[in-house]
Amino acid sequence: MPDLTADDRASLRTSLVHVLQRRTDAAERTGSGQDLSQAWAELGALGWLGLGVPEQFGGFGYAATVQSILAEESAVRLCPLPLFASIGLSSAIAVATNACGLLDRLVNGATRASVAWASPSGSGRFSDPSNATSVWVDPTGRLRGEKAWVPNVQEVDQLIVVAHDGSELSLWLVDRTERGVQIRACDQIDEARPLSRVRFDVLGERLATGDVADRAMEFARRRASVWVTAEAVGVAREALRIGCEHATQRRQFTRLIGEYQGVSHALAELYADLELSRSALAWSASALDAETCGPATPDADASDAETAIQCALAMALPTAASAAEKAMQVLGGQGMAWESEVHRYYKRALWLATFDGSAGNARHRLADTILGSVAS
Amino acid sequence: MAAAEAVEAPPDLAPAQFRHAARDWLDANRASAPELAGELTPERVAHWRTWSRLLFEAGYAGITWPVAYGGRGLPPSYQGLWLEETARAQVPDHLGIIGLSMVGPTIMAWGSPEQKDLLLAPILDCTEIWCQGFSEPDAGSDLGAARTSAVLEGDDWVVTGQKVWSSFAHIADWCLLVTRTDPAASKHRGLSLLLADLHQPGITVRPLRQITGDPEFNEIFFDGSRIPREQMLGAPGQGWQVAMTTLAHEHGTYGVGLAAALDVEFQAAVQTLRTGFASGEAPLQDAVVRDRLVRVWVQLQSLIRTNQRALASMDRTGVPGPEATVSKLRWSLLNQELTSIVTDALGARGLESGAAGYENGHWAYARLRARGNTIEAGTTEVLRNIIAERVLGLPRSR
Repeated sequence: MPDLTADDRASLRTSLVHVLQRRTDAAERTGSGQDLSQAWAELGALGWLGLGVPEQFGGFGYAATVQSILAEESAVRLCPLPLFASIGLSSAIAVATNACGLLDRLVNGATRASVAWASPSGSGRFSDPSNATSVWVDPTGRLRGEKAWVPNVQEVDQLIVVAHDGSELSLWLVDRTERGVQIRACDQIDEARPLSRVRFDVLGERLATGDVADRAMEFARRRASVWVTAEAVGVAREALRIGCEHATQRRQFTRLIGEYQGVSHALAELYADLELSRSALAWSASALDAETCGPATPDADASDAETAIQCALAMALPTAASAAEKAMQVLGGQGMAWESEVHRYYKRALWLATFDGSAGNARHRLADTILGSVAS
Repeated sequence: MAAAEAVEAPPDLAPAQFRHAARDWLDANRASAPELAGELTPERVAHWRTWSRLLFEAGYAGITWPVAYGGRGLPPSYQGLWLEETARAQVPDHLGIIGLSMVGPTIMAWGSPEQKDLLLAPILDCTEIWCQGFSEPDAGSDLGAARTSAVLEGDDWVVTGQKVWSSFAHIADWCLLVTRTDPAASKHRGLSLLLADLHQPGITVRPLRQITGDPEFNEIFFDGSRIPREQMLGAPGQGWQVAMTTLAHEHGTYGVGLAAALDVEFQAAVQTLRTGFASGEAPLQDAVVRDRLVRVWVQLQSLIRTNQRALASMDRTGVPGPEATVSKLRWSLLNQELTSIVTDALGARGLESGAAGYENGHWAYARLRARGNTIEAGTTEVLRNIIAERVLGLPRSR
């Protein structure tokens, strides 16, 4: 894994920001159906498609610390590219199931993928054990059943499906364009991350079953949790920027509204939450990398990665939502208008808390670790 | 004034080595340390002075002070490591913490060679203790409104006025004193910093009783006391800039030790809450108590990493990064919440005070004392103003 200094990360961030900004602007100008392959090629040239994929598969390496830069900056712009679905989540499952063919195509940009995990009757959380029950393998070997809230189905060509085979968890790769994959767009509030309900009656390629599948889901959950945390930091950062920009421009009662402590103190507390979230994100990403690849330096924090990941979710998820809420409050009436930007960030914050549960869920898990379990 | 500089880590003393050496030393010597909490009786002060001398001899006083002034010249992050280890060992740091962390660096930045020669070394070996003379009854957050006057008569500044909330003043030898030397100048421009020897005539220190019952801070009355002009720090009218140096250092590494100590206190809280009472299950089993505790823990762990980032920034650039501004702001709220969680759960036992009280009255004391956390060393409201104006670029507030 490349060892990146703070300066290296800053340069990466700068070059990434250029690409993402250009792609997001282009998408907004042309509307839906933008030329994804061109955008994807640019990301490929930077090596970003290989993030999270080990070097032996042609990837950039694990580097949750680096991946989190991509995640954060993509959220700052609500970039419509399927970065989370393909790079954040699908690559992780591909790595963990040793799906070399899929990995090749993901890294060279020939393929984009998403993951269909959620049972329509479950909680929607990635780690919900009932997820697998909604898709099964029929006697002819076809995948049958339904998944809900699948991200970016129209922007990808492959779907990884979380199913069960008998009593075991089973992961499958399906061509999204097959007739046996019926897609119905879900009307939901985070329009920057389209979600769909997908019904399956299709032959797929088995990626893993049983223990390997279980471990792959764990691996992917942890990587994706850091990604989600990074998006939350990006959302909070942009919401803070919007709030401060407005507070330094808007005048009421002959003064800039940022002069009023009711406004400035709310933004100051938001800044404090953002810095704490940023620190927790860095902690979780480097703890995860240390666990995967060994610690970067002998002095590195030897924290348990899972604890750090849950702590970061618990810190950043509410920060994203409250950041957007405070920004909307500062904007006054404009904050409630569709044409202002803030509501789109608020809606992303709300989606983030659904990927694998809210801050409350994360705190519940942490309680058992740090306080001991509740005696029965 | 000397500019802030990056300090490189020494090639032969990696952070992990420093930490382990500190930990080993503390384990070997902690029995000599005074109690972490308790009133500043003459006995406790004497014990604490001896401990401070031990720290000095072992090289743990002035860790970040330049070698030229008797320190070890290590980067700020090493001070952070030391603070974490003393918190873990549950021992107090050097008694002269005000001198070490605030007054000493101010004298290094602004002092004449004679002042440095006279005043710095005794801070390190604890032969002299410093206090701050900043706040006044009418000038707390608004330091610029200070009215303690200093008038030049011959070769002395004659000081008249009153300072308040000065910690350690009743055991201190010296006071870093903000005075108004030019009543005609506008607010900040009329201030000057004096180095006041508290053993001179015309100075009275009167302890003030805090809500906890003990006299932790003091009033200081200056009644025509004379301070030689050589004991002005900086030039007349430079007092505001000099005071800002002091406050910048106060905000620098202050929060690191506090967060580390809170991490230890959190574990103590969990232990206390494991005990059930005849009426029902232990508070630690209760879902609401658990969620409140985890909320504190999440923020605290995030704050500890934020402090580490701020120290790394300081190592690289010599000044704390903007993230340092959240350190004390958030620590104070977390400490208040933790003490509230425990005392809420303890009920009547959480009212008991003194050595015979439940768990030596620790939690009742802690809850009361914690109310001062959002007031001292910059009120929460002022800290939010600082973030708003200096970090976020918002207009000056009202």
